[in-house]
Amino acid sequence: MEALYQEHKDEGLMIVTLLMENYDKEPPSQSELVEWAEQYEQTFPVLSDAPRVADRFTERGEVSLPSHSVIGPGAEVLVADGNVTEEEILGLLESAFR
Amino acid sequence: MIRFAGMALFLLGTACSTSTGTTDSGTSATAQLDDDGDGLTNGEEAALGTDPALEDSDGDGHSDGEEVDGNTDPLDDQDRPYAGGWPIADCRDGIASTGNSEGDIADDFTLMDQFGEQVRLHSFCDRLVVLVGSAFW
Repeated sequence: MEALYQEHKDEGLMIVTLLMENYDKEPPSQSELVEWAEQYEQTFPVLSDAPRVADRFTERGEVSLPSHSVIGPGAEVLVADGNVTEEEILGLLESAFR
Repeated sequence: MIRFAGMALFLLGTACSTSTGTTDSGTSATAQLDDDGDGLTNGEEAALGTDPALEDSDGDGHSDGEEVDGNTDPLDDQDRPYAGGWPIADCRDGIASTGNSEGDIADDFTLMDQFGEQVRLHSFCDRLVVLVGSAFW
């Protein structure tokens, strides 16, 4: 994801990791967010999803991890809950800004 | 005689104009200055309500000019550019959410990031945002 972000951030792409649980199934602390960001070399936002906002994007009420939601310009929900490929993300990016 | 009087009125008008112009240009020149070197002119600071003699009016560690450029409030120390350097869009406060299903306008949320700061989804309202839900396993 970092490579995709670096390559397309100047075209309007943002990636946000929503970390829902640590190993103890608790909301991650800041030090755990740092650990995650360093381990996966993520320079985009890595957020502690204590209120489980990721769950709001699925009709089931609880996402199956890992999950992807895509929010377009103006905060329009383009993909609520799914597993999008890089090609699909790039297609959505092109559609959003062309 | 009429011609002379007309010339006199013209000169008088010119003198008044020159006098007024000097005052205006003096004020204008001051407004164009940037006394505190924060990237905003004194005139812009007057319009914003920031302190033209203080580089960082709200004391949050970011200059007034940096905050204006970054779409944050230079008078609110809780509203400042992200430590991660991610851009903040000026549309963030104009989003009317409708829900979180496809086609809806997503609800905003604010969560802590790896720098310990609060990040808003709607900060990125001018971008295509991929939310990746994950967990430690």
